[in-house]
Amino acid sequence: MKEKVIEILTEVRPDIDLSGEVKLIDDGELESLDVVALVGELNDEFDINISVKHLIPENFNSVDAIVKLVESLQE
Amino acid sequence: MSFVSISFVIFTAAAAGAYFLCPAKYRWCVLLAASQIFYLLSSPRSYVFLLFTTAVTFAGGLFIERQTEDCRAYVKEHKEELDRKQKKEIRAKYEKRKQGILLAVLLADFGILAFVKYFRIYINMLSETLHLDWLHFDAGILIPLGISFYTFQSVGYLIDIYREQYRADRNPAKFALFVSWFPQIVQGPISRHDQLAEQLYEPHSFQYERIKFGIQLMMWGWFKKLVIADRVGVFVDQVFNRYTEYTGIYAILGVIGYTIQIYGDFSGGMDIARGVSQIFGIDLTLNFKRPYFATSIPEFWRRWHITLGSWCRDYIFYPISLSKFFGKLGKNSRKFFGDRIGKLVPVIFAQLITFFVIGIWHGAEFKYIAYGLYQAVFIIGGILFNGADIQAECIVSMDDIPCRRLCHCDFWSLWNGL
Repeated sequence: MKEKVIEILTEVRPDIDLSGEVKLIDDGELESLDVVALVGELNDEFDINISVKHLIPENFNSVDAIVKLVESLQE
Repeated sequence: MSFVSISFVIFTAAAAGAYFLCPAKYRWCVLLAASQIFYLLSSPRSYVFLLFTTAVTFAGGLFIERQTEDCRAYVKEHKEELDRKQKKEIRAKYEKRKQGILLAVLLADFGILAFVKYFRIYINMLSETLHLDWLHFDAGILIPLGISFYTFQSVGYLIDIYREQYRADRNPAKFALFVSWFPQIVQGPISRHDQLAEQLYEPHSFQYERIKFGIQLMMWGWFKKLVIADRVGVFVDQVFNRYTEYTGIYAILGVIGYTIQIYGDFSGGMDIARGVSQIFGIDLTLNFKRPYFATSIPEFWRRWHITLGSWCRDYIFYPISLSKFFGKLGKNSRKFFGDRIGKLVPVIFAQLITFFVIGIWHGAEFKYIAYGLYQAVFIIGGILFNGADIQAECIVSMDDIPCRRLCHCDFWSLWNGL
């Protein structure tokens, strides 16, 4: 799943820094339009429903955080 | 009470003195009292509107949270008896109740805002357009001080409770402090409860360095307002008040001057608000980050009036663009416009609505709505043409940073000046 999330992230934002040293939301790697695109792709790919209440920085600041969110919604 | 008045300085000094002399446990009460006194001294006739919004939002937060807790308790208690489908139905039932409460409070809060800020203007515009002399609303209602700011701040809190991001405030007096905190009630910033509230409620000790820097920040704010903005304003007002006489280079200089004036005045006010808060040990969020150094319109809106932009992003843009309705619209749009554009349709609508709100936030007149929508045109254009290797060039080289900065800001200030 992690590889798929990374693939989606690089599709949405080809120049994204996934080294783990920057926080994707707090450090501005992902802008609001990227977040909307990302949520759409994640919802389609994993058949989940990420809603507005899940849009907090803690859920999107890293690849691992995004994977954790997807897994929690799949349960 | 104006930020640039002697009475404001005396008021702040007195509040700070009372704060640091008061026992730690009750220091937040001093802030509450100071905020109420400030409001009553500045806008006494509209104090009742502030109380109304505070009370309704506070109650709404508690009611919504009660529904969340009742739902969780019910599902937990009947865990063994309920299957997945039944649990989903129960959750949907409580969700509907939460939505009902949220809608009612939103109508109340925004209803007041719409009535006092916009109703009179629209009735009078309608009267003029349709030549209905009998239909006229006199200016008997004052616009309450900071109503746009404290309404948005309160509504943000309520929506966060609805989204279960944190617990509702249980102390009405403390919540009243969060809504009415005096340095920010005049011009913002629009704070978030989880960022500001605890800072207001917990006591802060007297720290010379922090207070010194707070005063310095206030002085910088006064410099921007009084020395820069007000001085440039003399020239700008002359040009804008007699715009048929001042044409050509004077018009251009007037527009540039207004750009400087609005930044000096607004960001200066923010510095004063942040400086005052810093004296009390409270860190208000930044509202400006060198906006005229932005290299695109979207970036500009991440640097100018940051808290308004982020509020609209979190409470208008995301809910709209991620809603089921617009999701379906996006899927259907792909059939007509192709995959790339189809996916962007919800985002485009969301941006239009967001910037309509940003426009109307500034005022009820058509020029403000037009201002918001023309910003949206640039941003939507950027979304649509992204990656299409089309670059709009200023007539002077875009490598000239001052020119680039002024180029896109002049359009903004041109509309603002009209």
